[in-house]
Amino acid sequence: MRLSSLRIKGFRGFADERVLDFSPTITVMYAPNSYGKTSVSEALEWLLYGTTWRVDHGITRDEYKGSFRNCHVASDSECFVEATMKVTDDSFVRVKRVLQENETSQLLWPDDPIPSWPYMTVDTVGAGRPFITQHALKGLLLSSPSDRFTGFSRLLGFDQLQLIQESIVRFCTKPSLPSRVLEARTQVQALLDAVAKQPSLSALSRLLQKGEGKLALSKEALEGTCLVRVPEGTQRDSLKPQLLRLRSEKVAKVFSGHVRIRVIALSALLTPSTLRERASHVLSSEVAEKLAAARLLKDSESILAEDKFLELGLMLLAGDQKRVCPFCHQQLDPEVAEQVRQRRADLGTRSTIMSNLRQSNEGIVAALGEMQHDLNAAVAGTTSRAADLVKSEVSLPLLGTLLASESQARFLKNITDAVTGIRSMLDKLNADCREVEQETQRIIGTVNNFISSGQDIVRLKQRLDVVVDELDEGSKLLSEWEPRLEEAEQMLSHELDVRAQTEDVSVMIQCLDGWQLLSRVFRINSIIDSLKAMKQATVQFVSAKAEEIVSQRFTQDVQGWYLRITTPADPEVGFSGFCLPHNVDGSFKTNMIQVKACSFGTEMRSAVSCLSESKLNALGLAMSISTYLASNSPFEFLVIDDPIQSLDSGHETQFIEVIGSLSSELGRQVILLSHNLDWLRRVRDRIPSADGAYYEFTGYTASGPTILEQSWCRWQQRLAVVEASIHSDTCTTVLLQQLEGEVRVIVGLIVAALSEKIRHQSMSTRNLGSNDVQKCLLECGVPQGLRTRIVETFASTDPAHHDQQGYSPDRSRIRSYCNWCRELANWGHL
Amino acid sequence: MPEDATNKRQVLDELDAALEDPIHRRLLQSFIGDDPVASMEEELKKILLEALADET
Repeated sequence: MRLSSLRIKGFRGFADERVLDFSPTITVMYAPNSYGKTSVSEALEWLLYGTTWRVDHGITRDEYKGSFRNCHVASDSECFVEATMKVTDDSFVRVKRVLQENETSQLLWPDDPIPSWPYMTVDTVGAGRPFITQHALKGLLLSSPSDRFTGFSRLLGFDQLQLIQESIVRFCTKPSLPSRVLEARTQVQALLDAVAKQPSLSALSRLLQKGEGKLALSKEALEGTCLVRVPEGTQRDSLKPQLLRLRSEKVAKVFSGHVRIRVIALSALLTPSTLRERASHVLSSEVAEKLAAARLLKDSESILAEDKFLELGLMLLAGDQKRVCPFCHQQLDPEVAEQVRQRRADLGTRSTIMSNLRQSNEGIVAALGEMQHDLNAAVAGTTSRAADLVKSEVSLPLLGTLLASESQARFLKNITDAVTGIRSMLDKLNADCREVEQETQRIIGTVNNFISSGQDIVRLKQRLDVVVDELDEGSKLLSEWEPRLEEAEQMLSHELDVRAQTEDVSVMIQCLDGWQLLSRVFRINSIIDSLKAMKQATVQFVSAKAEEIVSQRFTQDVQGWYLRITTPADPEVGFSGFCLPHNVDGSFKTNMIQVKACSFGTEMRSAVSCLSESKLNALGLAMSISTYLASNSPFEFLVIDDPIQSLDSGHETQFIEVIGSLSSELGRQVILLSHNLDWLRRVRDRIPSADGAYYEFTGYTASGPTILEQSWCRWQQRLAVVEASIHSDTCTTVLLQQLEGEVRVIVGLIVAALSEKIRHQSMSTRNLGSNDVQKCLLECGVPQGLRTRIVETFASTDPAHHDQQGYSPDRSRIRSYCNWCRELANWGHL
Repeated sequence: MPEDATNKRQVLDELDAALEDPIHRRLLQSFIGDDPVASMEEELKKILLEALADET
């Protein structure tokens, strides 16, 4: 994309709207200090990126806050920068950035909001910015080596590389660990601390400190130490029981009481909530209704008896042809037989119902039995969790002698309180459970006999709920006591070991118990430690890649442009390349870039500290050009703001050649801003073929700069070219036509110069017509004859006239035009 | 500028080849998504829990 025109309003030094058209080759802007030159460069930068280098790198961001808006523009007035960019020969885009509240901005294309620049891809967003500015040059060179690394990574596109490195380094430096791993590490560390405290285990401790690498030797040392303490001939797989026996024997000599006081961790299969759910099912109102219904049919036995009686009668009736009763010998009516059959069928139905109810009752009895079994199991489980503790009650006086110190008093109180509280809870729970069991047995009896009213089921449910609540509370109580009792048990165990002199034996047992966990934690530690190596490998890899980019390709590019700026008279002192510094061991120092310099073949300390300001300036220019050219920037223009500060005349001239190369050799559109009028004249004189655009900022008011467009070449130079060309034998008809058109430009330039000199009015030479010229010459007092001749040049110099019938270019006519131009210039003493 | 330096996947592949420890390579392979550090931490958690369960 090339810049075609720029419209600025309300931004930085531009209060009122200004429009600048750009040449496709070179556009030069001259402005004295404080005339708004840098505002143009910043307007363009802001349009492209929504920010500027100066604001981004300001040390105190607050001071830059609100600096985009011109101070004379009201906060509700429009503030924007708009550019028309040429994308292809016949395709343009017009993009506008509008300043909004809180320093934010919105990009519009052409009037619709868009998130980013059109034709920008992810790769081009971070590409080298097409701006060369003094503060950026100094910022990059004079920054610290580490900041320079970051700056280079952005400019040279290896910021992705740096980002990867930063992420991996951050990850490796302080990795986040899962809680289970942290717990395991804490446990193992406690074990290692315990080993370290035992003089008899010092050799083992030393080996364990060396980690996973010495794990096998550590195991050997542990087993070797254990074997010394157990009876001769003990196998390695029997070490733990032998050590436990040894410890018990020794402890028994100093303490004979029961010492297990910890409660068992909760692992009950039936939780109170499960029991509640089951009770709700077994002792439901539906069950009560079923039992009540069954009670109404308790005469089931009589039904069965009558059924059998009627069956017998029917059998008799079926076998007797005379239809006489075998018992009373009366004549039987056939209708009676039918009535008996009917009666028996009814009984059959009632019998089936009864059978179903019996089955139902059997199910209820079974469910009641299971429920009671579960309740008993849950209560027994809770009781057994604290069984050891309760048994310890008898040893409380002895425990008091063992945990007698002030620091141990807390543990003893914990044990005593737990025993008292838990015992009371268990007593009540067991008593209530027994009552429920008795009631359940009673109800089972009534159900079996079909005499349960159903109401007793409701009452049983209420009593069972109470027991389940107690079970729930008891379980919570045990869980609350568990950690405090565990702590007390450890203290007690330690105290016993101290008195029995079995501390090292206990630690050996702990080691044998925890060896698997220890070896796994050692493996984990090795993995975590190895992250340092991963970090180091990443840093070295990234540094090697960065060095490849910086010290080879980039150094070559920069050196190429740097040499173009130097002059033959320069001494052999200057920039000699970039490098990444190394440590003594040959590894790279992390994220640093040094700028090297040489003086007559001898390497200097650093270019930054040893080179002159002008050399550093030249180096900065070379670096900026190299990074821009090497980037994937979609913008084919390069804005160069005040590039020749601290350069002498020779180097200034060299840099003009660089600008020419950028434009003609590399086809880049150059936008050059400077306060050095003489140098800009030399730029235009030395690159006349560019035929670029030239603006002079001739004044500055609160509304903004006064900008005049001037001719790229001065009229004298253009006139000399035309005069030389018409004398040439090789001048073709087409060239003559072009020369005639050029005369029209020269006339415009001379008339504009006269206007400025005599009328003190600036005049744009763009689209100057014969009437404008006539009026200006009249006001300047040019004699009529000369005036008429000058205006006459417009009859054939306009390209539109060249298409008219009868037109043909004429050498002598052009020669006359040239003479008239000189006559007018002489008259005005230009 | 250098295409090979800006291609994230290629850089990661090259770094992967430069790493010798298989665990480091496994961690690097999890360098993906918008938050690669979180992704690597997640993978490290898996590796450590495997080691704790002795699954390695």
